[in-house]
Amino acid sequence: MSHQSQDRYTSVAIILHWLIALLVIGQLAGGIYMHKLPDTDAALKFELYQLHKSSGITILLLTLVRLGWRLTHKAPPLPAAMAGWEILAARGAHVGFYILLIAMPLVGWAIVSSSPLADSVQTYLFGVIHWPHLPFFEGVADRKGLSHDIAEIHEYLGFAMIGLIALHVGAALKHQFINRDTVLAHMLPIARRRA
Amino acid sequence: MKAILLAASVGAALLGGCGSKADSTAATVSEPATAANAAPPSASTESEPAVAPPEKDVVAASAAEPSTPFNWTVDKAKSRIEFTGSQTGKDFTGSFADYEAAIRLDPADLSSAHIKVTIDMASAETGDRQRDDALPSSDWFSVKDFPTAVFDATEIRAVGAGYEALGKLTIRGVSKDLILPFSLAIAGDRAKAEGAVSLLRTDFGVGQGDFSTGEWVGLDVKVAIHIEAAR
Repeated sequence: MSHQSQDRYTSVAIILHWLIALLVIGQLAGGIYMHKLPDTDAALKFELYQLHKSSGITILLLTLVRLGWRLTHKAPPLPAAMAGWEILAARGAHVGFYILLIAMPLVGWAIVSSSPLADSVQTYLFGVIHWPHLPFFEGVADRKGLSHDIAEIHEYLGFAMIGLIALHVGAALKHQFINRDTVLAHMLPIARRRA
Repeated sequence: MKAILLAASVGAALLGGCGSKADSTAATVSEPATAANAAPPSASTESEPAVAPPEKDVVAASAAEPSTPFNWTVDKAKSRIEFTGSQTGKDFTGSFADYEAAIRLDPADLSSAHIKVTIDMASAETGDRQRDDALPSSDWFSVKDFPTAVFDATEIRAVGAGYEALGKLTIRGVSKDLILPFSLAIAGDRAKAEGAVSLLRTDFGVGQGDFSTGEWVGLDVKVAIHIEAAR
């Protein structure tokens, strides 16, 4: 029992990891798709934006829960064979994920709140729970320009997220198939015990 | 309280019937009953033509008429003021729950006709929370500055089998001439009217800024009324 808890992340951490992973991949694909949709597809475009907002806030909340969990529960130790720079890179990537997972929804929230459409388009998470706008944009003269600038930041963060995911997946595959250690198994839903 | 009791006794007398005593009570009461008219009109008015003998009916009606010359009281439970617009290409229909309607309309004397409807713009509902949040805001109805919309029709004319109400429609403080075509069916003391007219919402400044084009929200709005009223 204690052996297993040393070897893997806790079930809560594993569930949160994969749930957030699925949502993030959906957000990246959906975000790019909805952004490129022509305005002639206004109905679909509108619905996708509403869904994107709901998923984004869900990711933010799940990430806060996950961060709280991470800070109160030990992660399994990294393989002793890892070099110092590898450990540093792994830690850096994980911290980077937390930063992006929190920053991206916040910046998205700022886009929505600063938009000139904000008064007319209130956010309802999944059409049910009212989610307020951020209050900082009331008196801004050029809301359209500001909202557009914030949207650019959101986009850059999205590319950073894609880059980090590529690094993260690449590293996991390297650990699994080249180093042949237990790092990927730490986070897999079904434990793979190695002899 | 007295008025209600009076009206109730009149209604009971008429419903109860044919005895001459009852009829005479009704006749004597009918003069002061004009004040009671406003309270529960349905009880007395509906039963009259059905039960009362024809001659008495004429007498009772003529006694009541001068004070209420074809003034109609809208039956709000059966009436609707609706608007149909489109958002991202999809039609939606909403309605106003609160409004006041002063309707004077005698088909035999249209020159005396006057219709004034005052609509509480904050009472608009379209069955979509996101949209219903938006409607009262400054981009749309701006209810803080313009709590009501008014249609004031000072001329009613017969056109073919129906009618047209000519007047001014004021929304967001902007007044425009409007012709509202409607049909009218009067049966005894009850009337039904149906009408519809298309508006360009931007004529009234409904939809400011990015909403002043039809990109997200269509510019055409159809307003439909279904009014049932009694007098």
